[in-house]
Formats: sequence, structure tokens, C-alpha cells
Amino acid sequence: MTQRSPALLSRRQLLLGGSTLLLSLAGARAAPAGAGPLSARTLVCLFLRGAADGLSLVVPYADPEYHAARPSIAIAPPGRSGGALDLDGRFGLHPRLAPLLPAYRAGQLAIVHAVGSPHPTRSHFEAQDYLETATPGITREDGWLARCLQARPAPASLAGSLRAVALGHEPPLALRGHAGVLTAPRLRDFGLKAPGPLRNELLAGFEQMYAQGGLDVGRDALAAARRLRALELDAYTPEHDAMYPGPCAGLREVAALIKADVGLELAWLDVGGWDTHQYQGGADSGRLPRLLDAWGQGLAAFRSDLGERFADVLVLVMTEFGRTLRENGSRGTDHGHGSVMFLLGGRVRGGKVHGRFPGLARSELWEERDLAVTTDFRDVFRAVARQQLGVTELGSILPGHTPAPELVLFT
Amino acid sequence: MPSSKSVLISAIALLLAAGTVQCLRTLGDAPPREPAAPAGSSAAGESPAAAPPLDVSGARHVLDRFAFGPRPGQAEALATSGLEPWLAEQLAAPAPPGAELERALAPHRQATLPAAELVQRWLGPDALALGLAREELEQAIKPHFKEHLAHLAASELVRHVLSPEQLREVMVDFWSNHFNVFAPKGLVRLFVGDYVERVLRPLALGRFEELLIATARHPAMLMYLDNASSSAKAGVNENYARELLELHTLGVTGGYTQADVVAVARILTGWSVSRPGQALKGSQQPFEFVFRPGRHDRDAKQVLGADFPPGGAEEEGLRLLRMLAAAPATARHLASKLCARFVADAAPESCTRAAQQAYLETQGSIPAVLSAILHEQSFWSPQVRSCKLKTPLEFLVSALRSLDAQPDASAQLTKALRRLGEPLFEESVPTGYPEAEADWASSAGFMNRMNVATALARGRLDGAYVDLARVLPEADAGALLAQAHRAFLSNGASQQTLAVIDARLREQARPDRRRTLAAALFLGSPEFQRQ
Repeated sequence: MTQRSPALLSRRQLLLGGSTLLLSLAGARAAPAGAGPLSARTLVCLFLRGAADGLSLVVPYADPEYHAARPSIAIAPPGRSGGALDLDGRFGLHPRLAPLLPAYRAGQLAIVHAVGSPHPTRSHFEAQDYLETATPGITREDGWLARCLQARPAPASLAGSLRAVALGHEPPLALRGHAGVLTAPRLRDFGLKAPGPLRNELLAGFEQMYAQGGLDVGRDALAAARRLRALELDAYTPEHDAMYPGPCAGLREVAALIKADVGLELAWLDVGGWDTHQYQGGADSGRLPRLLDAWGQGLAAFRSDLGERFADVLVLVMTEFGRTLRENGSRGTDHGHGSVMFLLGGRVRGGKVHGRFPGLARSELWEERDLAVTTDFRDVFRAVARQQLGVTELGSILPGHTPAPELVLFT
Repeated sequence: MPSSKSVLISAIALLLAAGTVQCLRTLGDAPPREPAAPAGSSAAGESPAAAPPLDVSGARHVLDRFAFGPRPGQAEALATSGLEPWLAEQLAAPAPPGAELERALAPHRQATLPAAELVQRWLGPDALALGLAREELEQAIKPHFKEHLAHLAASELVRHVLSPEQLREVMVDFWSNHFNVFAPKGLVRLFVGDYVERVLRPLALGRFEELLIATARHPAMLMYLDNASSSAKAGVNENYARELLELHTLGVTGGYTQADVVAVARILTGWSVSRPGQALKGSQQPFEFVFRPGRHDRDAKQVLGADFPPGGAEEEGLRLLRMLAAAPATARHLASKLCARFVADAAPESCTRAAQQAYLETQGSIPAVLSAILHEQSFWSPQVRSCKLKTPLEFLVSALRSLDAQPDASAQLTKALRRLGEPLFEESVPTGYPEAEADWASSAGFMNRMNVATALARGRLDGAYVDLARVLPEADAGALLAQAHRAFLSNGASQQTLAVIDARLREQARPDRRRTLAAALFLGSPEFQRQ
């Protein structure tokens, strides 16, 4: 990572020192460059934590090995009851993802299959960390998206900035190392709760105490709360009859922020529950269909809610690795290797399943059990950083990565 | 690892910071130094040589780490009584709860009942004889679960806040995450109370091997990580085997391979849970550990080079667990994790080495390891004082303790913990809740800490009774400031924090509101977020 000015010090390093000098240097961060068309673009990352079964999300129904390996949980071929929804004669979308089919047909959904990490780990946390730092096999404390944010023009002040929002309790590693990230499970009730006069006394007190540094996250939280209060997210009404299922309330808030033009560059949502060792389910009942039902609807609602604004938005759906080809003794699947990624957005080269699918014959499987990886996830990240975030100097974002030229994911 | 540049920056920053002590996360990179203890002294902490005489600030440091913070007067009391009697008392065998704790636990007693009793209570006395299928049982217990879990979490909070056995409580929290189970998964719902009450708490300060075996055989773990359904015939499930090696014992760098994971999974095939409606042998009760020979893989296996000959049964799993508990990699993994918990996020190498040595010399005695850490010089280094960000649980419990709050009979206290981001037994991933600052330094976390501080100070936090006038009787603004400073931070606030609070208190004319302001501002201050 290049460290060309104090503004590039990570939050961690600031915390290390905690001195007022360093903080004041960070406060004097360079003024932003003029806003170009890039400034209107937003990247929304959806991380399916727990290793989503790519072979169920995008079913290689034409591969004979698929059905043989999964006697109770395979998705039937297109045309059959509960069958996959045909995409291109080789692959079919899981039937519970039907709400995404219109986006695929409209060229706004691109799928990458057999994508994953060059690192062989089957440990959730290792693989998640490597995906979030984008440095397979190398432990780092800053995330690839934090590095992307550092490389983009910064707002005048990070205090109260809504340039990056992680909807959860914890900041994801992908965004660690950058100070301007708001982390909150729900934005609409983010703020100090106390009756009027006391609230003002306390706010003033807390703001002064946290201004001294040492825990910038407290200072930034207080400033963001002031800003969010002014936005009145409570009153937000989705457009175009968009209906967000309960688990996707975060997408609704992201849509509201995009439309409020607060300068949202990056939103991050974690979705858990994909570690389907048991009772994974096929098309209808089971853990996986339930999850896909909600998120298929949620993403479709997000797309229609945003209307024309969707042209500037990209949703990147990722997971740490795939799952075993063969179903296990508990009607589930164990930790595997290759999986899928979705890119849903206004400017993707959609309507296509990208990447080279190696097939499921025993000789083609990774360690004779898992879908092999033929596309390095960093090739997808590279395209996203360049095309959606406008970051062109990628050497420090994806250190050690040699790009594969053939993947063209954007128009 | 921080780069050399960041080390330099932090060193410069420290010089410039002129007296404000900040945590040096670079401690882990410091070149190893000789322990201060005299040569020949046991690393298991026989000699207290590394521990300086206690002042109140040192006592607070001990109570912030080896307890959930002091209740009023406890730091002063510990400074008077000295470290060793306190430690001996903390490491003693479990004692029956005293009257205060007993009274507070009474409304939550059901939460820790064994599974069979819970089922009978919820579904009727004959429920066990009905032969419900797994799915039917799961559906039937679901409506009772939310309230059950709230009481279970409340019962844990009550113990953390009120139990005199504070080190045991701290370790229950540590083991609850080390051996994490996710309560809302399937039938795990039935077993978590029993798991905490009869495995984690009684064994929290025993030998690691006993604890490891007890977790491996408990239905909560067998179901959470799917070993209960693993079968040599129908399909081996690797879930538990992998986490056993990666998280519970050797650690991810512990030198095992995918082949070892598979072999461990095969050795543990047949380790399952008895269910009502299935033919039970002899004294076997439903919802207990059962070895199912029909599912066991009887072929030869090899783990980390050790042979497990063909024809083995249940005992080879026990042999495996003992072997893992005795492995140096396990000692190192646990030592490093415990030093990160008790000393600094980046575990100082000298601490890890002392703790590992204590583990190996005592065949995994947890008290010996904890004593080694407490007596290790890095624990007493000024650099680690107040260097750790409290987890949400630590924040809430230490705030309640500092206010001498009494949990009420409702299970509402758990709502605050949920808002703070750490609802107990609801972390779905096997790593459990994290420990490091970077994991908890979030905007939402801090906003909610300030909200919880405010609610507590107003006496409006659901689930706890606070008598602020008893903790802070002073009415005069200046005297109140001094009293609150001592009560909440043992006089450890920065000049700026003190000046801000002082100004706020002087502007408020009403004594009751002044108390509220003092408590809210101190509990929500940057200093109170650290320990």
C-alpha cells in the first residue's frame, strides 16, 4: 500500500498513536477533487457468509454428474416441476431466484461461475478474510474496499460522512483501514435517545469528549447521527411498487440513501445462514430455498425501486467458497471450493454466465470433490474497482495479482 | 502485523502524546525479554515476583481484566488485601451462590434445565413418549424458545454482574465463544442452558482436556456442528471435525491437513444424541450423548501421523481428543488467545510463551495458565493499561457493576445486549464473538453504548434497578465530579474528559439531573469504553 500522505494513515494507525498531532493532520485531509460522473456511482456488496452453494444458485443442469451426486437436493432441469430456470441451455437459475430473471433477460445481471480463490482453504474465516483483503494466503489488516476508498477523492470531512455504510453490528474486514465507514444495523433509528433538554446536554458533552481523539469511531458516529436525523429515513417510501421482504430491509435503506444524494459510494450488507451442512433443501423446503426466496425478491425490489438511478448502481454478490458436489449424510453439503458471483447493475455485460465452467466429472473436480476454480475472484474485483469505482491504479488494491484478460464484465 | 512504518509512527505519536497513555498494539512485536520472575520459578505462577505491590489503579487493572470490572469499593478493597489471596479465592472450586445471587437467579432457573425436562414442561409430561419426529419436535418447541433464550441470557448476565466468582464468569464468557454454539439452530435450542450450566461453568477453571471432551460429547455441540448426523454409511459430515482442529484445539496454523480433517470426522462418526421414540438401551435417557456403532467408521485412520487401528469404536474418539488437548499447537493456540483476552489484542509473545509453558507443564490446567498470565510482566506493563476496547458484554456488565445495579426478575436486560451487538448464544459462526478492538469499534456500537449509558443513568434501562443517589450521594457539582470519577474510572479520566463533564455539571442546577448527567457522561466517555 502506498503511503503518500498522512491522509493515507489507516484508522488503526491513528488509534496506535492517538496523539492530537496525528489527528489534526488527518483532519486536514486534502480537499476533494471536482465531482465527475463517477461520483454518482454506488457499489453495493452483498456477502453471503457461510459459503453459498453455487451449484444450487446457478445449476449446471446439463452436467450429468450434478444430479447423480445429489440424490435428495439437486434442482430438477428446466421444464420439470420445481425445475431450474433456464439461462443459456447449460445453466439454470434456482427457481426461488425467479424474481431476478427479468434483470438477467434485460442484460442487467451478469453471473460468474466457477469463481473463487486460488487459496485452497476450506476454513470460513480464513477464506472470508482473504476475500475481504483480496490477498489470498496473506493476512492483512486492511480491506480491499478500504483501499479503493483511499484511492478515490475524499470528502472534505470524514466526520459524519455517509460515503461508506456497512449495515451490521461489526465493520467488515473489507472496509477496515478507512475511517469514514458508518456501521449500523439500521440507519433509521441511529441516534442518541433521551428527552429534549437532556439530549442536548449529553450530545454536547459526548461530542466534546470524543473530539479529543483516541476513539474516532465515537466522534464519527455522533456526526453521522446528526446527518441521518436530518434525512428522516423513517418517512422513506419505495417507488414502483417495490416490496422488500423483512430480511432485506437494509437494501431499502441503501435505496433511500442513494436517492437522498448523500454521496454514498459504497454499501455493505452481510447475509448469514449459507453454511448448509444439514437439510439444505432442493427447490422448495429447506434452508437454502428460504434464503433465496427473500434475497431474490429483495434484489428485484431494489432494482425496481431505484428505477433510472439503477443505471449508476452495481450490486456485487459474493461468498467465501462453494460447497461439495456430493451431498453428505445430513442432506446437506460440506465446505467446497468454486462458487458463483452475481453482478447486478445498470452497466454490466449481463444476460450471460461468464467464466469457464470446468465441468463436474471426477477428473475435473478440485481434490476430486469440489467444483474447481477457473476464475480468480480478484479478476472480478479488478473489473469492479475499475469500472464501478473508477480506481485505475490497482497495484496497491490487488497486490500480487496478475489479471486474466478474457473476463469482460462491463459494457 | 503492523509495518515497521506504523511502529515508528506510533512511537513518535507516543512521544508527542505527552503523557496520555495509549495502547501499543505493537507490544506483540517487541523483542522477547527475560521474565522478571527469578530463575527457577515456575511459569505456572508460583512466584508473584512479576506483580508489583497493588495500588488502586493496579487493582482496577486486575478487576477490569480478570473480573467484569469493580463494584463500588472493590478496587480499593483489592488494593488493601493484595493480589494473591484474591487470586486464590477466584481460582477455588465453585461455591453455591450466595443469597443476593440466588434471589436474582430464581426467576431464570428454568432456562438451565436439562433438555428432557424442558420438553416435558413445554409440551406436557407425556411428550417424551409421543415419539415426535425431529422436525415435529423442532416446530413444537419453537414457540417457547424466544422467552427461554431471553431468560437464559438474563441468567448469564445476572451471574456476570453479581457473582463473587468473577474469574469463573469471565472464563465462562471466554469458553462460550471458544466453544461457541448457535442457540436458534434446530434442536440446539433445547441444549444451550444445560451446556452452559453443566459443562462450561463447572469446568471453566478445570483442565482443558476435560472441558474439550465434555463439549465434544454435549448434544448442543453435536447438533450445532452436525456431528450428531454424521455417518460412515450415509455420509460423513466434516463440520465439527474441522472446527475442532481449527478453532477448539490446534488453531488454523496448527499444522493439520484436509486429510486429517477427514480422518477426525471418521473417528467421530457415531457420536450422536439419543432421541425420544428411538429404542434406548439400559439406562440411556433421551437427549443425551449416545455412541451409535452402526454409524461408526471401523476402518483404520491416521491423524497427524498417529495411527488409529481398524476396529476402533467410541474410545478412539476419546483418545483423539486427549491427543489434541496435549498437542503443543493447542497449548500455543489457547495461550495466544488467552493473552489477547487478558493482556492486549496483539498477544505479547512473552505472555504467550509463559502461558503455553504453564499449560504444557500442568497438562492443561486452566488456573495455572491464568495465574501465569496474571504474573507475567507484560500484564503489568503500563502500556497495556486501558488498552483494550471492552466488548459490548464487558461494557454492559461493568457499567451495571459500577452502578451496583440489581437485575430485576424480567429478562429485559438482554435487549440492551442485543442492541449493543452481542446477544448471547446468537452468534451463528463457530468462531464465536470476536475479542479485538477492530471487531467492535463500530458507529452503531458506540452510539448504542452512549444510549445504554444514558438509559442506565436515567434509571430507564429495562431489566435493572439503579439507585443513583446511593452510588453518587454528593450534591455539590465539584464533589460529585470527584465522586463519579472515582466510582466509574478509579480516577483514570483524561483532563479533557474531566473538564467537559465538570462544565456540564456546573451548568445544571438540579442535583438529581446533575447525577444523571455525571453517570451518563462517565459511562459513555471514551475512557469507560476501555479496560
